[in-house]
This record gives sequence, structure tokens and C-alpha cells, in this order.
Amino acid sequence: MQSELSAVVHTDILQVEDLSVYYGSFLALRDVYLSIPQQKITAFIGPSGCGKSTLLRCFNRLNDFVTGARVEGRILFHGMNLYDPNVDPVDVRRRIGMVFQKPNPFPKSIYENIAYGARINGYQGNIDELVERSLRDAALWDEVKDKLKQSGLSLSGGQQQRLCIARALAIEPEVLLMDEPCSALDPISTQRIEELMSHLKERYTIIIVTHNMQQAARTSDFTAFFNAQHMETGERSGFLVEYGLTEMIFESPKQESTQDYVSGRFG
Amino acid sequence: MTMIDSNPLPPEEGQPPRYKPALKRRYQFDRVYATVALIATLLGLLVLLLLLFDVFRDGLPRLALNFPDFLTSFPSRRPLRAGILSPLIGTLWVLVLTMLISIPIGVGAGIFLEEFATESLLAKIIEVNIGNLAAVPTIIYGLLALQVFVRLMEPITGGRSILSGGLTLALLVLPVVIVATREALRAVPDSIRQAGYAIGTTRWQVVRDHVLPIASPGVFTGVILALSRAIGQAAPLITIGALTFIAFLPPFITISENGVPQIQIIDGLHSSFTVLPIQVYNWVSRPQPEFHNAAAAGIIVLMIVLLLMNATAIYLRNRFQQTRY
Repeated sequence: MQSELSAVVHTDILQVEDLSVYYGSFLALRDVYLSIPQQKITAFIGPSGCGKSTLLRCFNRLNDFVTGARVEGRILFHGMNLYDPNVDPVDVRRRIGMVFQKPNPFPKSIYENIAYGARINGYQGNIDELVERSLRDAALWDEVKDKLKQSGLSLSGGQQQRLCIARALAIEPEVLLMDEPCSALDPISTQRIEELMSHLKERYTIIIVTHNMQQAARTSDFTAFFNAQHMETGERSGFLVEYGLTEMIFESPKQESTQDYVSGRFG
Repeated sequence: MTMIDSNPLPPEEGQPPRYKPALKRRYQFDRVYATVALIATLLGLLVLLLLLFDVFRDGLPRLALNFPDFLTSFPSRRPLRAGILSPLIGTLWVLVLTMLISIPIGVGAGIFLEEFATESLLAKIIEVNIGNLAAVPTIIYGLLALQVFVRLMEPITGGRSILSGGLTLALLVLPVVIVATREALRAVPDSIRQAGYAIGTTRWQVVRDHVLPIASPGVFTGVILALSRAIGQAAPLITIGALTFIAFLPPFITISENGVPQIQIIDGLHSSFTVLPIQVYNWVSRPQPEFHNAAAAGIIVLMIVLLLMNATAIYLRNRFQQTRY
């Protein structure tokens, strides 16, 4: 696994080292080692309950809000452990942004949806310019430039999701986490988001969780396949099966279960 | 509800038919239950209408007899000169104080329990007890208030004062306000909180900027319902010693000798008081029928105050809903 990755020249922005996540006594994800390359798109695929979303939510410490959630191991961001007691999770979330499965704009104006995060985080530049730039980056500007005062909820589902992307971009993160961003959208909106992702990876590192294998194959540079396994306790806990270049995972995977999954035999 | 007499679809193939839909019988059940539900609704409404009719028949002539003197005169032992000014003003002042005390404390406690307290044993115990407090008979609150506010805290509250009355009713509505606040907060979808956290927002900022604005119509409704419950209370206020005959207004604002209005918060708060339900109760227990009519008129005034409160609540709620997009 390591040899394929080192053949490509890149820097790792995030390094997961021996990470296990518990919800109470339930082991949701165990013993993950993984490196996320900078300015690439990395896809997490796998059946439900395999821990891929759990891992995604470790990167911006959103699991902190889940009662009983506990993380063991380390996630290094520029070499600094995100779970170090000295690291402030609010600061982490400004540097590592997130887009959710269901579009969740604030019930405020389009403008305010973008401006809010910047203002709360003490953005020093011109907010009007930032709003325009973020909306342009999210390929939404032309559709909403004349109705910035309208509610974000008045947009269509696909537009709302791009608004959420713009909102995430407005705080200028280095990493963009996307948790099944297209699963609630129609094929046209999905295509627009995928095009957008290929533009965004010039400046951002993107990690996307998806159930859509074509989407993973189309958009990502690297793919990690997770699976779930019954433990002696009877619970299913997730683990990383295989990680590598997307072509390799889809065309010549080393593990049989990866082959079965990407060829649609289960999952 | 439409009745289907004959099945317009072609008959199914296969003999004998494996389904007997018995649609006619099922629709009959539908109608029976709809009728029972309608009767139940109408019964409740009928009782309310009868009550209203009775009150208006007795009270409206009294209210019209010397309008608006009934509203602007003090109670009197001569039934036809008796007015409702001091209880009306007393009710409004107690209401304002109850609001000022119970809203910050109740909403604050609701926010803490719902948004900040982790699922600890302590939070669970508090939760169960607040539920119980909401069910405690009001006279018990009166007894507690008599000891704490009127006796122990006399230097602060001035004893049997309007401030003690406001504190007592605030105590009474607090559990309801807390529960209503929590329910309104719980109804806010978690995706909004997550969206907030994901852009580097602290817990309190998420609550202040996103959760509370969405929850505020629900919080408002809960607070107003709780206050409506409080405004009709006589028992706890009689227990703490609200008087039944008051021929003056709380001296919040007085005109000094040279004609300058003066605001005296402390004197006002420490003033004796009475409220509408106590006055009504007092009039009903008099032998003269003229006093009974005055009581009915007092009930109408109380109902109008209530209606105005609820109307304000609905107006505010709609306004909030519009401005929050």
C-alpha cells in the first residue's frame, strides 16, 4: 500500500495514525492508518456502518458533540495532532471545512449565509468581496447575484448545496470534507457539484464520502475502501481494507472484498 | 369523505377472490369515528359558549351601565359605584414583573439544560424535578412564597407587596417556561447546529445566532401560555396576603407638588396590591346581586386582558417568522 503512494510526488496534509473511534463501548472504527495528500480528491467508499463518515467527522472534530464518542490514536494536520489538548476544535473547524449530506443552509439570506462564518471568525477583508468570491468559487454567483437578500431556503436543492459549499469556502479552509454531498440531489445538480470539485482541488484538499462508486471513480485521485466486520461481541465495527490510487482500487485491487464491492457484487 | 357504492375497476381474475376489501363496512367505521370526534369537539365548545353567554348576560349591562367608570373607579362597598381600576392595574403590574423575572430565568435554564448540560445524572434529576414542579398545586407555591418572599425576604420585597406577588407567579410559571423553551429548542433540526459548528462557531454563538431565532416563536408561545395560566390565579396570591380591597394605585409614578412626575420604583414594588381574580372572587361572595353582576363584568375585563395578551403573542410570533426568512 505504502509503495504505490510514495511513487507519486505529493505532500500529505493529514495523517491518520492508529485511529480507533468508540461510541460508548461500541467500537465503530478500528486501527486506521491513512495519509491524505494535499490538493487531491480522496474518496471514502464502503457499505453502510463501515465507519467512513465517522472518520470524516474526526477530521474536523465534529464527533466531539456526540455523547460518549471517544477517539484513540492520532490525526496529524501539518504534523500537529488534532486531538492534542492544546488544539482548539473551533480553530480546527475553521481550517477544515465541511459540506453535509443534506443541504443545510441557515434560514437567513444568501448573503448572510456566506458572511456569517467570516464575520464570526474575525475576517479582516471586505465582506462584500468575500461573498462574491465565495459564490463565484461555488459556481453559484450568476444564479443568485440579483437576489442576495433572499432566503437561502428559497433556492433549489442543488443550489442550496452549492450555497453550503460557498459557505464552507468563505472561511478559506485548507481541507474540504464532503459527506455524501450529492446523495440528496438530482443527476444534473450532481454533475455540477462534481465539476466544481475538480476546479476546487487546485486550491483545496478534498475528502469525499460517497455511496456512488461511479462518483468515486470519476472524481477522486485516491480511494479508500472501508468494510465492516462482526466482532466477537456481535457488533459490527468498521476498518480500512485498502487504500491507493483510484485506478488501482477500481481496476486491480489487492483484496477480494474490494474487488467484490467495486464490481457491485455486494454493498 | 366519499362513499364508493360500486367498484369501478374490472373484477380481478382468479376464483375464488383472495381479497374481500369490505369497503362499505370500513367506510361506515370511518363515519362513526368522525361523528364521535365531532360530537366531542362540539360538547367542549358548547360548554364554553354557555359560560360566555352567562357571563356576558350578567356582566355586559353592568359594564355598559356606567362605561367607562367601571374601569376607572376603585372598588366600593356600594355595588353600583364599585369599579375595577386597582385590580386591573394590579394585574398588569404583577404580569409585567412575572414576565421580567420568569423569562430570563426560565429561558436561560431551558437553554442550559437543552444545549449545554451533558446527559449527566444531575441533568436527569433536574429534568424530572422540573416536570414534577409543573404539576404542583398552585396553593403550595403560595405557601412557599409566603415563607420565603413575604417573611424571610421582607427587607427586600417589602412583605405582602406587588414584588412578592410577581415573584410568586414567576415561581409558578417557571417550570412551564423551562419545559416550553426546551421543546422549542429540541424542534430545531440538528443539521443547523452542525452547519454552525462546521464553520468554526462556538456553542453559544450557534445557540444565539441560529438556534434561538428559529426556536423563538415556540418559546414565545410557551411563555404566553404560561403567563395566561398565571394571570387567572387567585389562590397563591391570597396566600401571600394580597388584599381584597385596595383603593389606591401602586405609587410607581407620582406627581410632586410642583407638577413634576416622579418615578418611584421601590415604593411601587413595595406597594400593597390586588388582582382581578381576587376582586372577582370577593364580589361573587357578597350577598347583593349587583355585586354578582360586577363580578361578571370583572370576568369580561379579565378575558379581554387575556385575549389582548394572546393576540400580541400571535402578532409577535408571525413577525418573527417573517423576518427570519
